[in-house]
Amino acid sequence: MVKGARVAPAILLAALVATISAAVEHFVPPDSGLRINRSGRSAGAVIRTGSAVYPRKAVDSDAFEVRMARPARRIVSQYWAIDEYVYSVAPPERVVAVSESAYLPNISNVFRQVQQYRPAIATDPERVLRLDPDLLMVSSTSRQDFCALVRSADVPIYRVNTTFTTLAQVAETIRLTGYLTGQDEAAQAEIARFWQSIESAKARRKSPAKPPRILGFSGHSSYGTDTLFDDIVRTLGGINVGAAGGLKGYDSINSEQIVRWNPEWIVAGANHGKVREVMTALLADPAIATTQAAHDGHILVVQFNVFLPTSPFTTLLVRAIAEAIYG
Amino acid sequence: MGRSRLRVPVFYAVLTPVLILSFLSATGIGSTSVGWPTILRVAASKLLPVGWIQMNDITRADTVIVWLIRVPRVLVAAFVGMGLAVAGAVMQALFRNPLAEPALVGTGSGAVLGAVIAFVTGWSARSVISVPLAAITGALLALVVVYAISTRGGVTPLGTLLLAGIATTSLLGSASSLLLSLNVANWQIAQEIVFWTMGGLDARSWTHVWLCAPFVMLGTVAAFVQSRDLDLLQQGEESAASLGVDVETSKRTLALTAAILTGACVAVAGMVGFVGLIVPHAVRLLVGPSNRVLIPASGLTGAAFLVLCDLAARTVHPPVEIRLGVITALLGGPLFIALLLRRFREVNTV
Amino acid sequence: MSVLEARGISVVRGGRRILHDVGLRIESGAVTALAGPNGSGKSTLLRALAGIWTVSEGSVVLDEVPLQARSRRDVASRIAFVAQDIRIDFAFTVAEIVAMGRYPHRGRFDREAAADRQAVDEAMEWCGIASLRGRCANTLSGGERQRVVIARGLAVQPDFILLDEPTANLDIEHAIRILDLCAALARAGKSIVVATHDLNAVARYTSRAALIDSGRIAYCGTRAEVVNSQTLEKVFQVRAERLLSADGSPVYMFHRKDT
Repeated sequence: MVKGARVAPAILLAALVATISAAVEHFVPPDSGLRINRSGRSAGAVIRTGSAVYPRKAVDSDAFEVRMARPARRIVSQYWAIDEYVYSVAPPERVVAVSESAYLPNISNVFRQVQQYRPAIATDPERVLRLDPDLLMVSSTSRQDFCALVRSADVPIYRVNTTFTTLAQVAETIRLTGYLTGQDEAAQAEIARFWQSIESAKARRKSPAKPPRILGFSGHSSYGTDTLFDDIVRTLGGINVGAAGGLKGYDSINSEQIVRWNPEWIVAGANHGKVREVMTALLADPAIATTQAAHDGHILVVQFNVFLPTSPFTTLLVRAIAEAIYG
Repeated sequence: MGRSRLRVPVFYAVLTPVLILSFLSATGIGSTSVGWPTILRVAASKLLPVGWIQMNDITRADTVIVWLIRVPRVLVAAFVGMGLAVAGAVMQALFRNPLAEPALVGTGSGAVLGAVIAFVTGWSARSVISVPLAAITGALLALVVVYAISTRGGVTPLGTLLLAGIATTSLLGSASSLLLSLNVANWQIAQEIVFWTMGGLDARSWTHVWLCAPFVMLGTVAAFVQSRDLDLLQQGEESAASLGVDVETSKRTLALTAAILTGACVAVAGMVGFVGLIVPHAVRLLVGPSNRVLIPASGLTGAAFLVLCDLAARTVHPPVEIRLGVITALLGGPLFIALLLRRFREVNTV
Repeated sequence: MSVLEARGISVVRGGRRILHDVGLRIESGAVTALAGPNGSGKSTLLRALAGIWTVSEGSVVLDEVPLQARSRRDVASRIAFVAQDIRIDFAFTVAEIVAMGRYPHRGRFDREAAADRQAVDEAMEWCGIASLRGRCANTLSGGERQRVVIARGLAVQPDFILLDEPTANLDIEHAIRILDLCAALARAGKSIVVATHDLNAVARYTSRAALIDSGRIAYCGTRAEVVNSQTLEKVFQVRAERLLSADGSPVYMFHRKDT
């Protein structure tokens, strides 16, 4: 039997695969959808913005350079926190789409605006592109595929780093939002209001009061180092028992830890009209019942739209905590 | 009991309009409404030289939606359907078993693992072709391993084949999930895993079309060229050898062909199971098992099939998109069970 | 007149040496039987002669040219092998299966020619399955399937047809039909080689035989030389009692050696 052609067909096929691969690699543009969001990746390439002159350029959390030719007139936000930034800075009629959360009265701080102007809900690519937006702001946690698709349609899409860990970062993001939307003055004004609100909250503290030991509590998890809550507590002159106890980031905690940390204040969130219920449930928890906070009745339960924001509306929480602790 | 078969021209006379209609309806239906004239004009304007079509009253949004969102998605669905159907037909000849197909035999999981490795190592970000290539390699390795486990002397008992497939799928699937869990940001792990194991065509772009189509065409042509060997291998390896087939070379080439098809499809759509089972089976019932007819017929039928499945996935419960793999499994699962039962009842069983 | 010859061949498979220095000459116009106990190597020898398995030593020669030196197509068109495995899982029709016997004569994409159709029709006539031509092969009985597979071998129009245990799974009526068919083909000038363990079939239908024991040829020659009480006793370790049937042909009854 002639053995000559033993391997040839498979090799030919493999060679064709190699040829096709080379051709595709050469001619087909790269798709950023082929990148994944890595864990532990510092989800913050440093936010960089360019000059104030149009066309403006900014570098997003994916290190993509985004260009805007003019102030944005049709803005799309796809993330609940970004909704709040955008409405704080831009004229509400220019917001054409928001995230689903904006329409949920329980957690939305922009409910009034969306009720009035009724922007679309920005879910799938078709609906978003149908609105003919000139600026999309999405979270750094959104799917890469979607961003790639929009980029290929030549629509400016900016990925905002939404892992907020400091109040300064919030302020910077307000400025960024102003830059991207072309509303720099409104942004500056908002920043000024932001810091002022925080300053007046800080001023409530009568020094040299003993730093209150505060625990942020959210369904069996707490806020450790590198969280916005941690920064809020430290700014107000308190001690975040979670961070002091070695917790990193937002992580789950157990009853033992609560007992050992023995906070003087507990801050938690609740749905509309459920503040009382949540308070009772917390007090009923045996671990919490042993704490100083429970003993003194120092449990602060606020509505979710005060407790959750990582946007200009964070000042609501700062004020609420300052008022409760310092009076 | 000679089962009647359709004559081939009749089959294509019915399939062609179905194929065209499926393309048109899949392109015409989406989450926003786009009129038919608009769709046709946008498509024509992209395919014909500039200036032939009046585009004044067509908004940019329309153009983007039709040409960048809908058309690529339908094309990817068509090519993936074609590739998986032909891969199924090839594997059925290779394992001499009508129940062999990429998902059941573990080849799909190998492709998924290859693609996931290309992702988590960052290779995919640097080279766009890395994902299909890694998927093809993974598919080939998995196929070789399953074949080695389950085939003795050219005979593959069905039970052994399915068990080897299950074991391989579990092992490789877990490995993929592990890699994703370790490397992908927390909030996205579940989403990624679901995409790879249940398939999906959301946000497919022209890049995905170019990553998949050339390989699917190559694999389909290669399978067609080998259709005679496929027929003979289905008669038994020794019979094939005595009729002039170089069995070892043939098997090697066919395995590579199946891997190319499976890898390219999985790379752009995740693991969409049962297409390789349903389509060749149905086509065989209609036009007979001769592979010279079966391969092209399965390819085109698979294309129409998956385009329609994707359409169903999008429209059954809007705005929620059901995973494509769920739809094909709902259709293919019962068929699989029916085929199994039939084999257990047959006189000449395993 | 073609001659297929094994010259001093040894076959090693899976690390085991199955055939040792085997020499055998097959000529046209006869039914040659390869018989021997299980595991003796008769199936291996058959496959080596068919060119399906490669030999490690010696060579199989067809008309003075070793099989190795011939192309696959050449060998396939001159030697047909009918396997024992006649399992068919796919709904090919009888006509399609028999037509596959023409593949060695056709290029990859050649259309079916008149000569091909004729060969197929003749083969089906010979095997008495012309009425089954449109039936799906996986709906046939064992005997019918065996005849289909033999017809496929016939359609090759080969010089040699090698059959591996063609009657093993058949009931008696079908077995006799197959054996009659083999005899008729031999009378028509084909060379038939049958590997079988049915010794009485060997006694009745073959003109030449080879007894194989532990990978070596124990006896080889005409049927009378090879198949008799003494040889059978030696190779099969049984006592063979020779009886005569009504038409004078020998029938053997087997007893354990110590009784």
